[in-house]
Parts: sequence; structure tokens; C-alpha cells
Amino acid sequence: MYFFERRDEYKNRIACIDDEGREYTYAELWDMGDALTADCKGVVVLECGNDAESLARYLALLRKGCPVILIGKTLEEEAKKAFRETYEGEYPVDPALGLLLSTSGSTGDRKLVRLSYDNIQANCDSIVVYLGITQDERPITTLPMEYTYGLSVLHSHLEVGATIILTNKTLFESEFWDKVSRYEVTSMAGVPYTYEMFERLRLRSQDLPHLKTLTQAGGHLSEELQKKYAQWAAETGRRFFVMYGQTEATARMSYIPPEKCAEKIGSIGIPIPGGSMMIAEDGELIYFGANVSMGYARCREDLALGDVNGGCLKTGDMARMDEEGYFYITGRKKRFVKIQGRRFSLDQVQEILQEAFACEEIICTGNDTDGITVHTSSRQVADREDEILQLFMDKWQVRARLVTVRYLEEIPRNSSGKVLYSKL
Amino acid sequence: MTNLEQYNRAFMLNFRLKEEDLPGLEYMGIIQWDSVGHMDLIADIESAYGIQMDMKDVLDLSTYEKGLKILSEKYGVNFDE
Repeated sequence: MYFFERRDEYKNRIACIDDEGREYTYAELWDMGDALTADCKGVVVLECGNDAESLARYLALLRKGCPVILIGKTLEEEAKKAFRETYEGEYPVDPALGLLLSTSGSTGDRKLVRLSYDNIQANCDSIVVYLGITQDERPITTLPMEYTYGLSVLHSHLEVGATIILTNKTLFESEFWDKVSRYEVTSMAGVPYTYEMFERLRLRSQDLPHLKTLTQAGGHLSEELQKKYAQWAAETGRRFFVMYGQTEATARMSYIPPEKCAEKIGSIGIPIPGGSMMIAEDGELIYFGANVSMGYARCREDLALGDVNGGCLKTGDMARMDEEGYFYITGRKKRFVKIQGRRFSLDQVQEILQEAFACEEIICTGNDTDGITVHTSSRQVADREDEILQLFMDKWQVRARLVTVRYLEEIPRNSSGKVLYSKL
Repeated sequence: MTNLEQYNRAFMLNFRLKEEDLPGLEYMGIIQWDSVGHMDLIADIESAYGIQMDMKDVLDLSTYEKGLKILSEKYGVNFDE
């Protein structure tokens, strides 16, 4: 049985509590979803927030067999429109296809990951097992629903009949922390910058007796923070999970068991239950499991395609493994950075900048810690630093301190004109 | 730079705004002043005045004007000089 079919099993339990403090039982949430989606047919683009209506609609669409594309409310209007025009409507789709998520949601391309109902359920089952999720859990939403990690928190808790505290409040609003206390929240999920916020709010010295589990994914957490949280968890009888995943694998691929966290600083852990990992000859990390997506979609015709991955995902990350079978990421095969919990293709960012400033001599490099550096050999472009920073902010909400503009005499290229990124 | 100039600068640099945009500014009222932006803003304010703000004040600093009030009343930052 799928997690979205468990209405009768948990019908009188509370599925979620929304920002207005309204409680919805599993039966109410399911029935509301049926009513809201009665007229839906074919592929649906669902603009979602962390509220009961979005969750109810989403679950109902999964039940009805309407493939869902989740997009965030804060996405640019133009991008929302493009998603609807590209994908919405009735046309032939693979019957296994249940959910489509954007990989980056960032650089604004229409590329989506195709996930089957079985992908979602397989990953959900693994997560419930290794996190040991029970009915008594009360997680609060700290991530957007359209983001694979945020969504996996919803799936895995609905699977067991737990109660989710749905909120669109941010960590910097006192209402958020009022809810954490009032509803005796037991777990929170965070990407690396969420942990920076936790630090800013001195989470580790707050009195939160019910908070027992913290999870982390969505990029590399600094070793300093991993150590601090591992130690804090060990000393206070809590569990802290460092995890690794990609939308291409539904959400999760590996995790560090909490008792090993302090010992395995910098690692991405071991494969989740049901999954396995190996390192290819060229050093690339390969993952195998039932949660590996069916493939990508770039246009509506692609939704008719079957599974092209066959349970095997080339992660694009380079890795090594230690003698105890723990994996460590050592680099990237492709040119992208993960900042603010999202993935940015450097080539794509570069292309957009080249177009926006009508100049070919703009090259982007970057890393997850310092962000993106825009190199240019055009004085005119370099002088428009303000506009470059503005574009990053408006288009992708990338904070100014993660963007550096650098002028150089000449972009290093080899004899055939290919950019020598290593020389930048 | 005066204390007020430093305060304004923290907003202008982090959110890419001009001085005349600052009055009335609210947390989550513009796309730049989200939770990530807030973290950067607080970090810059703290380092500008060499202070460490309490959690309550970090949460209460939700408008441009409230920040001025909190900083002058609780952290002794003088904006009149």
C-alpha cells in the first residue's frame, strides 16, 4: 500500500495542524483533497505552500493518478506560466509516473525529474526505517514542500500516521518557536544554512525538551557545525542525522547513523536500507536502489517515456570509501554548486549572464562555501557589478555575499578556445 | 561613518537597496529580506556595533524602524550623533 492510501488505517488520528491552528484528521485531509481535486484531469501543476490545502490536493492527485508537478509560490510568475504551458493538460503519460520535481528550481529551466509512485514509496519506506519514525513524531516544516527534502519529511510521517505541524513561518519569526513549544515538536530538518540559522538563534542552548531529532541534507555541512551538533546530540540524548541525497533518487541515498556521527565527520555515511553504492573506475559515486528516478523530462512528450535509469544513478559526485564502508564526497564531475540548499549549474548561470549583459567574456566558477565568482574580461561588465548582484538576487534570490565579480585581463583558454576553468 | 550610516549600510548592501527604500521596510516584505537575508543582516549589524543580540531581539527586529528602537534601547547604540 502507498502512503497516500492510508486514510482508513489512521482516519481519526491528526495528520496535520496548520498555521491557523486547525487540526485535520487523516480522514478530513483525504476528503478535503478529494473535494478540491474533483475536476482535475491529466497532468497538474500544483503551486504549493506548507498548508493543509496544498497537502490535501497533492495527496489526492497522487491517489487519482494525476501526475503532479510541484512548484513553489515564490517562483517567478514567468517561470510558473512556463511550467503550466509546457506540461499542464491531458496527453499520454507513462502510467507509473506520479510526481515531477525540478532539480534546481534555480536557474529556471524546465527540466524535471520523473518519479514513479514506486520511487516515492521505496524512498519513504527506507527513510521510515533508518530514522525510526513512529506515530508519536511531530515534525515541523522548515523547508518548502516542493523541495524534495521537505517533501520527504511529509511522506515519511504520513506513512506511519504521525502528526505534521505545517507552517510557512520562518525560523526568524517568534510564531515559529511558539509552535515548536506549543505542539511539542519532536524533529526538525535543515539544509546547511538552516544550521547557520540554528546557531544564530542559539538552538543548542534553548530549552526544547521534546525536540529529539535533527536531520541535515541538501549540501555539505561544515565540519565545525557537524562536530558541534554531533556532540550536542550525544550529550543531551538526542539524535543528529547527516544525510545525502538528490532529487534524481527521489530524496535520500545515504546517512550517517547518529552514534557514528562524531566519528565520521565529513562523510555522507552509508547507503540507506534497500540501496547500495559503489565507486566507478573514474571515481564517480554510483547509487543503486528502487528510489532512482525514471529519468528527466524536458517537454511534455517526455512524460510518456518509461524508466531509462533502471535503478542506477550516476550521481555526478566523485567519492571515496573508507575501510568501514563510509563514503566521502571528494569533488564534482559536473560544473555546479550547491548554495542556499539549491543546485546551480555554473554553465547555465554563465549563459544567462552572457545573454543579459550581451557579452561572451563572462565565465562563472564557484564552490559550495564561497558561492559563485563571475569572471569577466570586459571592463564595462565588471563596472556593472551592482547590476550583476541585483540579477542574482531578483532571479534566484542568491544573497549578495555569495556572489563575487572579478575583472581579469583575459579569460584563460586553450588553443581550441575552451575555457581553462582550473586556471581561474 | 555614523551609527545610522552603518545601520543603513547593512540594509543597503545585503538587500541591494537605496537609502530612500529603507523606511517602512519589513521582514518578508521584499524578496531579499527572507530568512537568509535576515541572518546576513543581523551578522552585519552585530559586527558593526560589536554586539551580540539575544534571540528575542533577533526575532523582534522585523522592520527597519524596530531595529533602530531595539539597538538604541537595548544595546546603547546612539543614532543621534
